Amino acid sequence: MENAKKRIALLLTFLMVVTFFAGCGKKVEQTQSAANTEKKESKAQPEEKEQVKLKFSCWDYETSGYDKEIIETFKKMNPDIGIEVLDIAAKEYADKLTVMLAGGEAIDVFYAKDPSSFAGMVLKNQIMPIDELVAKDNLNLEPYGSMMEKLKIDGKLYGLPYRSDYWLLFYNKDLFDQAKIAYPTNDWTWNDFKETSKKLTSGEGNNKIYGSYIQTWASAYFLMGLQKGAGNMVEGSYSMLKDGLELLCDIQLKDKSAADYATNKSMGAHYRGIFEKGNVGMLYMGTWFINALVKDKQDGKHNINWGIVQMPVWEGSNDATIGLTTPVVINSKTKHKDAAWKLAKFIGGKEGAKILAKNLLIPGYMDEEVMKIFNENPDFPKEGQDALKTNNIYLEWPAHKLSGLLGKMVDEEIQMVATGNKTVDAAIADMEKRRKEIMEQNK
Amino acid sequence: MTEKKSKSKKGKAIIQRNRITAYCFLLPNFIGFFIFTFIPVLAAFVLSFMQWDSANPAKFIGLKNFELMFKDSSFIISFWNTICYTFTTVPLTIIVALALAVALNNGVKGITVFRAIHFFPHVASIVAISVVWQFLYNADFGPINMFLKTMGINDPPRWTASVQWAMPAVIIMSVWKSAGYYMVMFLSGLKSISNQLYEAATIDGANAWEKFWSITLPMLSPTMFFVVIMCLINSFKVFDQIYIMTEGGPGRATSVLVYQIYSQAFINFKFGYASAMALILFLIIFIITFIQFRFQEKWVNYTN
Repeated sequence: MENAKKRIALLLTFLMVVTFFAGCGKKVEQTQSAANTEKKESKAQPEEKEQVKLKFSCWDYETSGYDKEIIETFKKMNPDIGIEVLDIAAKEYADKLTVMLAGGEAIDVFYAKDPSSFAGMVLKNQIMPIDELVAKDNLNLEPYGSMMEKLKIDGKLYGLPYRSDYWLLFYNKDLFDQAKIAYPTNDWTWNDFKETSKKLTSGEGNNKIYGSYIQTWASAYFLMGLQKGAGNMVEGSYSMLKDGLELLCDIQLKDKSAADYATNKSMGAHYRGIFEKGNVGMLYMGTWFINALVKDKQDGKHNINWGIVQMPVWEGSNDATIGLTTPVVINSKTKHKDAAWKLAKFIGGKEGAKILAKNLLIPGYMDEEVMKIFNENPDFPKEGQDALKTNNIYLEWPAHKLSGLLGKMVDEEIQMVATGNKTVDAAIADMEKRRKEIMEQNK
Repeated sequence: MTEKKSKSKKGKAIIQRNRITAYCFLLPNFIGFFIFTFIPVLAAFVLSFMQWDSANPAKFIGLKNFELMFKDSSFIISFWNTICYTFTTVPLTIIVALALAVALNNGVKGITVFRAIHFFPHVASIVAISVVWQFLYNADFGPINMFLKTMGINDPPRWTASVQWAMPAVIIMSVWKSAGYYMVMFLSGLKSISNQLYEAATIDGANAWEKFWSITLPMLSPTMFFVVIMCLINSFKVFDQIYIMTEGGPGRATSVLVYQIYSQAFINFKFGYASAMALILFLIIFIITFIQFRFQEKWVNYTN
């Protein structure tokens, strides 16, 4: 009797331990059996082309639609390549992708959403250099323009520009008409912006109309400095940011012609909803917003007549804006190099560009045919064509290994200025000091 | 003789058997602890002497991470913010929790309802709560400042938008959230104090304050000891509300140690450096808890 109980107890223990280890063992077995079946299959049908399954990740695949169109088209043209799509929410994309790559997830082709995470991934050897592949195919890099050079790290190319966005000034024609103020023009200065913003502001409470909206991103606060062309955010002197920051503080805290940073932050405000609500006169934002505005209007989410012009500039300087390019890249650990390159070439090449242009997004690949598709879209405001012809586009952040760390620091200091906790001069001095500290620590 | 021997053998067998059963019951929990707590802690300890970005192989760099830490202004600011947060939150939480417990214990009608109401913040999701408080604290449209303005304060604090008030804002919210939990502990402690003591004190002519000071507090000291330790540990680990309400801002005004560890590891991908910071946090908590256990005999009263 007792022995039996003892045995049961022992058996239980044994079972627990076994089931525990079984959890660990399963994966190996599965992959092994998968490998076996693969082998069997290839043995059975040696002539037939092997079906390659690629893993591809992007953000808002289902909701935005254009990536879906690109992938579906690719699948139709390449039936031998299967694609599994990992759809990640835009806000979490960078974080989630990095964690997944670190966890050994075999994503073959993906977008690097922002320059700092791109540089980080290159540094971590997670992205394959494509110079060889480009040379082998004799790929014409001309349609990519100058953005191609900016993607290079240590002279090596790590991806094809899939999208190339830059900032413009969006405005709500209805509000300008109501207030009987002339629309913004392509040769506006920041002073025009500030004064018009003040004139547009009216009302109280629910009827409040703000002249402008300033998104709580650091880039919306430092772009005025970059427009001067006096260097980038990693190496340039931060004193270039002074008058831009002062201007924005004046608009928000003195003129009160835009909701202030702290309010926007605590309300979790987002430019898309705010502008489409129809009580904001002007908004400077990236070209990606064109697609969103058109799409939301088709979906009946807003009924605003909007227009675009080039970014305002500082008195007496040439047209200039900031931008960023989104590269499509290949995982350095991919097992299907040829198929992955085929997909990357498709997305970042002419085919992908045509689909993007149809959706009013600015592709990295730009030739006359693509430009024509873009301009002939009936949803695109005709007078807006000139707005797209900005000559000088400066990168928000260069593809530099410290871009991420410096970006966080700059964001913190700009936050101090925008919430009125620090003077512009003190913040700039602190930014210089902290940049030195970060450089020192990451030599 | 032989019978005796076999009996003691039998006894041993029983003990042995019970032991195995006990271990069987402990095993599931222990396995979980082992995989999800013990191994990661060990890994973090090893990692703190390494440089690792999650992709390239880890490199042993000795004490460099620790050296770096004491020159890193973000770490130093976060360290002092954590200390400042803990040493205001803990006393405040305990005072509020104790006051609530005493009030509820003194025969308020509908005690269970009040207990539930005060316990509610502890049960509710911290994410939801933090978002709600973020709205409450809004400088221009928030209910708190609206109320302060009607009270005649023309220039109310800008709460989460101001460097001086962001930390107090987080502290107030944290106290509100956790006081109910500790109140329930104090309540059960109060219930176990024998009524005879109060009766005797009444006969001796003690007033309410004297009774509280000389009977309630000493008799409550075991509960107090437990609450202080739990509260301290939880305060040092503060993260969620800061992550949601302020993201460490404005600037670095509410950046605390765990937030710093999180951002070093998962934003900057310096896992070694983050592990080193986590080790420092562990040491701080360990030392404080150790000191408390050492000195508990001096003030904790276990006699009843």
